[in-house]
Amino acid sequence: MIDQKNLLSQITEISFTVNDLNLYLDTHPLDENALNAFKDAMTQRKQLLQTYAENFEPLTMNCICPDSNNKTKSHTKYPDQRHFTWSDGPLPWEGGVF
Amino acid sequence: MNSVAVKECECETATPSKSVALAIATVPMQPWEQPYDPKTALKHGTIFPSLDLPFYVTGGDQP
Repeated sequence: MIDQKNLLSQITEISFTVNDLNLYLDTHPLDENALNAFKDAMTQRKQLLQTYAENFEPLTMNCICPDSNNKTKSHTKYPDQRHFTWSDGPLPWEGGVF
Repeated sequence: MNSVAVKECECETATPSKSVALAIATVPMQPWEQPYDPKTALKHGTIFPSLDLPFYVTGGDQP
């Protein structure tokens, strides 16, 4: 069983790293070390977002895939129907903020 | 007709004087360094140890 809260924390953390590397690369566009670090962090972020979307709701529009999202059928009105998964998952006022 | 009061721009009054001195700012180019791991980076507000400065007296962990 995947720990949803932990996965979301990892996404937040790696997203911050991607963001800060983005700022650094704005002023150092040819820095090989930074380019490599960015590539690694971005790959990791995409992987984590995909894992999250497969198990739970999609977090970005790029992650919406009705055929593979939310395998755990958590927080959905349509647990056994092919449906648009964007509205799956708890809203912030329903405890969606971990 | 309504008229909106436009506040006079005060920038012209900020000419060099005894209380307002000219300055030349120099910022060195940041060199690359091994960044923090993502968890530590988020906690410290930067991925770069060199920029992890004590902006606040409290809060945050020491690296």
